[in-house]
Amino acid sequence: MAKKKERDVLSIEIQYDEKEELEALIESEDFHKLLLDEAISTIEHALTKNRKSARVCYVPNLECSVVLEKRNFTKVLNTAIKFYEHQEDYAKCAELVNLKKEVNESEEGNKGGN
Amino acid sequence: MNQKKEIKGVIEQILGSNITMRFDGTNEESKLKEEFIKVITIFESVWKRQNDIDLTYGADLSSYDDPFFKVIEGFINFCFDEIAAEAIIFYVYARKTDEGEIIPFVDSNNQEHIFNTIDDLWEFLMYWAEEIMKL
Repeated sequence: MAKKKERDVLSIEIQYDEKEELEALIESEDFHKLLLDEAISTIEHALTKNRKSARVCYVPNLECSVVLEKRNFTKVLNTAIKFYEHQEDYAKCAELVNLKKEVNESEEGNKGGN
Repeated sequence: MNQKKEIKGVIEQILGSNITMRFDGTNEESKLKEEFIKVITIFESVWKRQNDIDLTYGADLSSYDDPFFKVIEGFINFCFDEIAAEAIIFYVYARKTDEGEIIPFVDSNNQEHIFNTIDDLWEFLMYWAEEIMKL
């Protein structure tokens, strides 16, 4: 039987000895971009598939997946919009605003439907 | 446990939202099986690619690819028992006729095994490992 092709989930191993190393990660713009981009892409995927949550990434050393509930999609998109505003990537901001609209419409649709 | 909490906090701070850390662990055997399936899938696709190029374009790349296949076969023979290694190599090179029909693999006890998928091959390897243990 053919298996459905699921999207590949990003695997991020986060190993550290000192808490300062983890704090350095919070400062890293590249890490912010990586996580936000992955979150955006999983939100898009969740909308297409009409899912109630999005699996953003997998942390193998914890054997855990990072899961984002649909009610929090907008919050993440707001964070991403701020990030790209800071980067002065306004085209990306516009894209994200549209995606936010889609999320809101989908939430309203669900409320109406149920 | 503390690390999990700390990592969760970092991700939440970056995403600006609450998240759930869902346990998605697998046991050692399923990890091993997953790795095995990945490797054999690549092995099979490389073998198929060589044959497809020959059939489609008439370009015989076997003399170029053969050393790579010999290395792979060498590692398989190095890592597995004789029959298990034979089964893996049979799976990739010989289980299908040109018409796509599946030929059974015959083990040293004269038992036939049909490998439709890599899962079937894996099941056979698990079965064979138990058979070896009985000796």
